[in-house]
Order: sequence, then C-alpha cells, then structure tokens
Amino acid sequence: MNPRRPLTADDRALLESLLRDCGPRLYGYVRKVFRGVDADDAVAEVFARAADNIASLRAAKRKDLYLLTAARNYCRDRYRRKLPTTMSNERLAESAPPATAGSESRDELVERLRDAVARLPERQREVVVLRMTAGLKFEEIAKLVGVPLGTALSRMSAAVQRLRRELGVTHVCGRR
Amino acid sequence: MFVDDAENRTARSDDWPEELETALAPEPLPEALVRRIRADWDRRGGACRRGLPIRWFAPLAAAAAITIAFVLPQYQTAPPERTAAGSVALSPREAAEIVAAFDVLRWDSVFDEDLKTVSAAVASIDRDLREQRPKLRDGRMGGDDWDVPPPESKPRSYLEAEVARGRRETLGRMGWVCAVGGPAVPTNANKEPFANCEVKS
Repeated sequence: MNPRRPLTADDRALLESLLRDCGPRLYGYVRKVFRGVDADDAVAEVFARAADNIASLRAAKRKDLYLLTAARNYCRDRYRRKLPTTMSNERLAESAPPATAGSESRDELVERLRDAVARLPERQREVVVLRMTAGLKFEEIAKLVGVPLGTALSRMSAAVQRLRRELGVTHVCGRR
Repeated sequence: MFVDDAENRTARSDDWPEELETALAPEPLPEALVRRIRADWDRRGGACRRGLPIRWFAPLAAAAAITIAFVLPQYQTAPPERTAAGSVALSPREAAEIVAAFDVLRWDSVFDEDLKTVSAAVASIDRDLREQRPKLRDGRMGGDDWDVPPPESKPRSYLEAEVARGRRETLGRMGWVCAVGGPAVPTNANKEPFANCEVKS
C-alpha cells in the first residue's frame, strides 16, 4: 500500500461523490456476495485504498468499476478461506422453502428471493449481484470477474433458472 | 454493437423475476460506516480547505526552522558571564579614555570584556608613547622633557603629531574613528592634550 498522503480539496470532493454514488452498490455487493465478510470493514478499506491511490483512481475511466474491483480483491484476498462453500444441489433443495404459488405477498416473495440468491453458488451469486445491485453490463461483469463474456452470461442464466425452480414458475415475470 | 448483442442474448435466454431487482437493490450505507470513512479521510488532511493548504506546510516549516536556528539567536540578550561595567578599577585617565572611546563607537553599554579590550588598547598606546620617548631622550628625535628640540630641528608639533598619528593608527586598528575635536584626543605624559593633534576621520 502506498504511504498515506494528504488529500486535497479536489480529492476529497471526488471521494465524497463516490461515497454517495457508489457506496451503496459497493456495500450491497460485498454483503450479498461475500458472506462472512464484514462489509463495513471491507467498504472502509476500499475507500481508504482509494484515498491512498487517488491518482490511479482519478485516471480510471470507470471509477465504480475501480472500487468494485478493489472490493473484490480485498474480500477474496483477506477472506477467501472464510467464504462458505457452494451448497450442493441436494442441500439446496432441502433448504429451499416450499413454493406457495399465488398465496404470498410481494414482500414475502422479495424476502424469499433474497434467501434464494444467498443460497446460489458464489460464482452465480456474484454475477447476479453485479448485474442487479451494481448495475453493471455483462461485458463489465466479465472483465471484473475475469471470465469470458459467455461464461458470465451462462452463470447468470443458470442462476435465474435456479431461482425459477425455487420460487415456482407462477412468480416469474418476464423482464426485458 | 457487441455489448448490445450481449444484452440481447441475455434478455432472450434469461428473463428474471422483476422482484429480483427489488430484492437486490443497493443498500444505503450505515451512518456509522460513513462517519468511519470520513474520519479516515479527515486524518489524511482531507478537510484542509478549512485551513492552510497542505502544499504550503513544508516551505513554511522550513522557513520557521531557519528562523529559529539562525535569526532568533542574534536577538538574544548578553550571555550571563558578561557583567556590567564598574567591576574593573580604572584610573581617571583610563575612565576618560574609555568613556570617550565608547562615545565615539556609539556603544550603548559597557561590559567587562569591552573594558579589557579598551584597557589593552590604552596600554598599547602607552607603550607606543614610551617607545617614542627613548628616541626623544637619546637626542635623535628630542629631549626628555619634550622641550628639547630634535636634532633634525623638527618642530615639536611634528613630534606630537607623530605620536598622535601612532595613537590614531592604534585606534584605527581597533576600528575606532576619532572626529576632529572629539573626545578621543590623545594626551601627553602630563595628561595634557596634544596641541596640534587633530585626528581626522
């Protein structure tokens, strides 16, 4: 890590805008993908690193991608061994709550979706969260995760199919 | 475009529940976390817009260090080992000489070291005078009592002027400057001022 240097007023303004605009997405990404990771520590560390490397942050065209990459590297480097292993399909089926087609409110469905996403394999969950929470395009997700575009798409497809199975076909509305 | 194709491929094959966006919406940062992050930035001087620009700190600190190291000592008071005048016993003549010298030098205070320096200068002048006297006494330049004219028939005023010149040179070596009619007028053995000794600056 570079030695900490004082921040100028411009540096501080840039960081404040990133904290306001990207902070929630970053926080949601860490919380939903890297379970067992202290999201507060991770996000604080990411913004501290951003302040340390303010010059490279300024040079980055997509500063949100810069922060997400820093968060991903931090979480994988520091907490790799703590990350839960992917559940097997059998365990997933056992842990999945029974579908109650048409009988639950939207809030309950959203809560079940959160749980279902949390049970997704890490690789699929990361693509889903980066797409839905961070709002990245699949090309950006592929670059961030370090996989081909097709791999990112297939992971998203597999995740959605899995969610469909969990929630039941009647709850799935088409989205385009 | 490539990105559009990718988005279309995804949309064709992977329609997802619209509730998924709600379920995975970004979460607001906890206030405690925001305060923690901002506190870290503040420790780095991120709030410097309220104070002195950080880029000025190093030059100003260097200037302050130089001032403290080199400039301020010049304005310190005299060292404690220097005591005020009065502790050195002086003859009336020495006192008059020294007072006159200090008046010429425009010194506003007299210390022991200064008195020693001036006393040494006075002694040197007296030595010069004594060296002049044997020459006068042996008849080559004059008599014992200043009244005997020199063999070369040089006028007394010349001899006196010579003595005065030597005295003036001695004073000059010390950096003294005597004005015409000033108080640092040399005197003869009878403690009388030389009549024709006009020491010009």
